[in-house]
Amino acid sequence: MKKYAYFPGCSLEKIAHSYHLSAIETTRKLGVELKELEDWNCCGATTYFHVDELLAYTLAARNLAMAEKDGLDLVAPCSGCFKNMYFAAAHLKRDPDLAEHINFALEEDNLHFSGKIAVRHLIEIFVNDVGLEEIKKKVSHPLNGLRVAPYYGCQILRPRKDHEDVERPQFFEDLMSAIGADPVDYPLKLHCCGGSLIITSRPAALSVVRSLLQCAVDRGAAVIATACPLCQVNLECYQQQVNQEFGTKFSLPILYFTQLLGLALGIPPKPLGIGKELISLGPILLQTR
Amino acid sequence: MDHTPRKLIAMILAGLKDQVLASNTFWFCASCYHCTVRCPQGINITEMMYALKRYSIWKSKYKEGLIGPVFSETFVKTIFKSGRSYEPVLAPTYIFSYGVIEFLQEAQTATSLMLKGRLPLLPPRIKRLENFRRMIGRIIPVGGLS
Repeated sequence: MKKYAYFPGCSLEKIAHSYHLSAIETTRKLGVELKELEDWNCCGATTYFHVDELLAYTLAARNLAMAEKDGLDLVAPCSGCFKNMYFAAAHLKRDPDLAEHINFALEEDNLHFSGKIAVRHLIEIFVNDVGLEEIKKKVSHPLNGLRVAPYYGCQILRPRKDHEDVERPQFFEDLMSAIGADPVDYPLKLHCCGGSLIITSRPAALSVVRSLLQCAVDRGAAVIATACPLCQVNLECYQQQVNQEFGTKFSLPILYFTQLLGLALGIPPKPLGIGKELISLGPILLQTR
Repeated sequence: MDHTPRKLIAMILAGLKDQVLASNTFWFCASCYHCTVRCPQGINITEMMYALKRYSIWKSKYKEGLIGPVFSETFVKTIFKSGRSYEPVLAPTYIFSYGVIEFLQEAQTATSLMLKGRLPLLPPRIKRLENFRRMIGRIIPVGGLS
């Protein structure tokens, strides 16, 4: 059985609890064990980097050190948490002075990070570690004909980590095809959801969300699949505000990819957190049962 | 956004420090890193925007009426207190700068989320909070931000 240290992140405790529930259900079904880090702290989000970079890396390092203590690679379902901890680990491995400074702080919590573990995004675990062939075998309720717009957003892909394709990635589409859905190709799939600008520069963010929704709708999407809580919140919870602001009539459900995967694996909707969305799924659910 | 990134970089190179700090451009950066992966010169523009945000907070010199700096500092203080983020504490940093219509729309969204059980009622808190705070104290003198 594959086993990982699991870092849910602050959003998954409440506003994105359905992502947490569906991550746990789907991994279990596919023989993957997620062991939640015992006393994890906030990854630093984007805001910490606005104030103090060293402190932001220290916050991430505490989580990394706890995973290392367990001897497990760290998995984050949130793209922001993933990006922060991935680069914190990379910087600490590359820069001994930084590592020494941060490890001096970590001593206060009896922790030490020496750079032995990897940081992964949840979607990679399904695509690369479990594998699409294995997933196909386990699909009992293929989402035949469901037009899903896979939404990558930013921080799964960017900044570039290695030599991976940051311009034309296909893994999200492949995963959707593996569960029988019909992935929709739309030009804004790698664009930003607005991130925390939804709070700090609301009009700018609402206009970004509007373009994204319009683009997916124009290409015939019945649902958008996300792999990040902030993307989900901006696209779903602010959809009504977009409608009020721009006179549009969007009613496009936004689900976590794990919720769609779970349905295809035959897991009932409720344990996947379905029912907590603000935009009703309507006929989609019928189509998938 | 008052200056394009290209212009802002030119202003930095020209040494126009006060004008750069008076700009709101970097507070419109959502950290999407699209420019960073595409810059043919390999310039990490996103990190530059982060650096400008930090510098302007550090110098307490930022454009009047921006939500970004206050929001960021409040967020950081919340983490100092509890180790995890808690949305309701952050609301006052921006909600009062909204107009009536925006305020009502935001309240409506919050109510819908509340009804679906998606907003936390109590602030979360990590267990080893004392260690955590001492850890932070070894990086920056605590009190520096509060």
